[in-house]
Amino acid sequence: MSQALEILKAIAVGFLGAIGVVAFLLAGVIWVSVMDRRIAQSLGSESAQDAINLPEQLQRLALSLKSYMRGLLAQDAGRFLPWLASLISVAAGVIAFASLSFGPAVHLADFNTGLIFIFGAGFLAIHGEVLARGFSVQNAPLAGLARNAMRVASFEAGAALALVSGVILSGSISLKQIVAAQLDQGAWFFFLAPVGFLLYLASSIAGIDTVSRPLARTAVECGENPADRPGAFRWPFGSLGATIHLLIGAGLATTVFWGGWLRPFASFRDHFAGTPVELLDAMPPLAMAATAVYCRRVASSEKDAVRKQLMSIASAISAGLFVILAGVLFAPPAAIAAVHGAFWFLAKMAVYIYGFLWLRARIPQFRFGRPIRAAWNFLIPLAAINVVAVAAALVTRERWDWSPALSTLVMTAIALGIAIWLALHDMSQTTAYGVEP
Amino acid sequence: MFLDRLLFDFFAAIAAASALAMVTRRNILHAAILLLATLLAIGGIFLQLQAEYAFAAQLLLFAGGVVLLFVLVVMLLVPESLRQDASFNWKNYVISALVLVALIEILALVWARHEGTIWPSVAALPPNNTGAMGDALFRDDLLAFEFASVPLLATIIGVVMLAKRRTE
Amino acid sequence: MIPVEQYLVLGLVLFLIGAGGALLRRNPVMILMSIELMLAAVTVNLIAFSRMWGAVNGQLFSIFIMADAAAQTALALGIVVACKGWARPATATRSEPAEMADSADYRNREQPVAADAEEADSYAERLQP
Repeated sequence: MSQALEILKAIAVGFLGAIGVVAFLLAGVIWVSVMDRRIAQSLGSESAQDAINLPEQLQRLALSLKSYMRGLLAQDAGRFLPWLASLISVAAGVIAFASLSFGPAVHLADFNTGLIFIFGAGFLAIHGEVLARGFSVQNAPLAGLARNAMRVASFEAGAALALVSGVILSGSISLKQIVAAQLDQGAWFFFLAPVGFLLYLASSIAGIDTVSRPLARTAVECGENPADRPGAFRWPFGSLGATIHLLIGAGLATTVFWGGWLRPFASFRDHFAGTPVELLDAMPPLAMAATAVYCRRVASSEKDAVRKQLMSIASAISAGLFVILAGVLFAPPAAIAAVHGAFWFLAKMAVYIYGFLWLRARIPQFRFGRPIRAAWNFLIPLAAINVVAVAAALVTRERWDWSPALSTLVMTAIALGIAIWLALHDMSQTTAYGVEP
Repeated sequence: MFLDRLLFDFFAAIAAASALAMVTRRNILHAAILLLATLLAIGGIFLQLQAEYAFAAQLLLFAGGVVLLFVLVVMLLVPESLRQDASFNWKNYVISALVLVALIEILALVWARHEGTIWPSVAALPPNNTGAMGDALFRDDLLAFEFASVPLLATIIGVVMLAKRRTE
Repeated sequence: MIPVEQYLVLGLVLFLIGAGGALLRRNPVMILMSIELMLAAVTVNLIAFSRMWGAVNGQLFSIFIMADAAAQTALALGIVVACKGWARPATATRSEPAEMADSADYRNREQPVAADAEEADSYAERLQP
């Protein structure tokens, strides 16, 4: 009897966790695409003239889900196999996301090799994309697909090398221990390995660039009814995979460089007089209360009915979050750590994604050859040099008792100097080849 | 305990079934996907044996690297006519039957000779053995680790030579 | 706990299936895939042994096997492709064969962005002897 209960419990936990992750990822995808539109709009780009708002975004998602389900129900192999293949990439995203930990005890899967596991899942996702495309259209221009896969793979190599600086500093590949090391050392690894973070950001922007662009395109380009086009359902789901890729990349950057679930000044502890409530723990509820008030005021002055409703919903959500975050302040410390940890993690992820989209909208899109060459001539060598520089900084700290600030400054300066030399070298090479226009 | 049993049976059944389907499949692309399924099931067994590092490396190198190479090569380079290939090398049938019999015989022999011995029961690896892996790789067995780079270097040189010859 | 023999039996079964595939199939890509299967079967055994003795050395060997398998696949596939003369990329289908132009699949294929198409063509040209 207890065995059956054990199995039931395991299945139930896995099932509920998977549903939660999928719901969260879908919400994240909608948020990212709306944010992307808004940024493009604020730049006044031509393709963004017809603004896509939240209801339309939801409608498109529902449409793609419908055609996805149609693929599931279709009996002939021509539809079933591409459906299965695109399932691989989404499932890989889900399991990778499930292995992130959002708080000291808030996680679904506790891997102690989380970093490598997430990269492995990323390769699985590439599988899904490649297969989905190859199956659904027999004569698809596969060269473009191969170039995309190659591009993602080369920039993923750059991103992996950039993350190695975090591994060196913490001495672990477990995501939880990396965060714990940042608490121990009293500094986010962003401050100890700034070059590593910048390289990570650069490689993820360049690597995800072309893949996720379709999400920002207009509904006109995918036809009046995307479901009618053969194999069209992989269009939204291809970009869904890319957006999940972006979300997971943000989670990794937050964990490795921005201190994961740690709040800013995590080692600073000061209590309100006479209470066990810590000073800085009051910040999240206050921020949420301010957001709720702001959204309420915007909603009252808004003309458009849909936006008005959306703003009041946002205000209600922030008010609810305020109640939760403030209420948990009086709970045991473990509960505070869990809830506030998740809050900080998500807030940092949101900041990272916003910065990512903001930067990407301002960086011109290059053609294929150039970013790949930049990756192999510049990014990957620099990432390798950065690994050595971070290790050297660690040695100077531990053996010669340099202060962290001094060693980081010196080593960052050396790495940046080499970066400038590499860039100049690369440029002279480019003109010598005379390949690029 | 029961959950362990269930998981092992599940993964072992998937691995064996998809391996069998892989070698008998007509379409190479389908075979590649079945190879991926086999490798993922084997990864599940690694995880059950608390070999988390091996699991992650398997996902990255085998499932990610190797099978992705197969898929890309088949899709981009193998001509359509060769993707459906049901030809079996029947001359090898006899040889392989002999090899199979020999292997089973070896197994039976080993089994018979060690009839009395009891396999040592499964010792408990520390649940957190990734650190031990690091110690072993970079301290105890450093020479082996360095030698593992020799075939990798040879591969890089060989692949570069192949690519060079083709573009010239 | 699952007894070690069962892991070994699983490894043997996978190895035999892989060996059968490598001996019986004719297609070089299938042979290579069967060899990968054999290597993976060996890693199952190694990791079961690692667990059995409570030491990580078995995992170490399996890591080496995986690295070698990846390297071997890259090189072997390169040699197979070079020997079989498959070196022409699938972009060759761009030259629009007459019978394809009529089929619904071909008409509804993804329209490449202009820059992409031009680039892919130049890529195909460069690869052709």
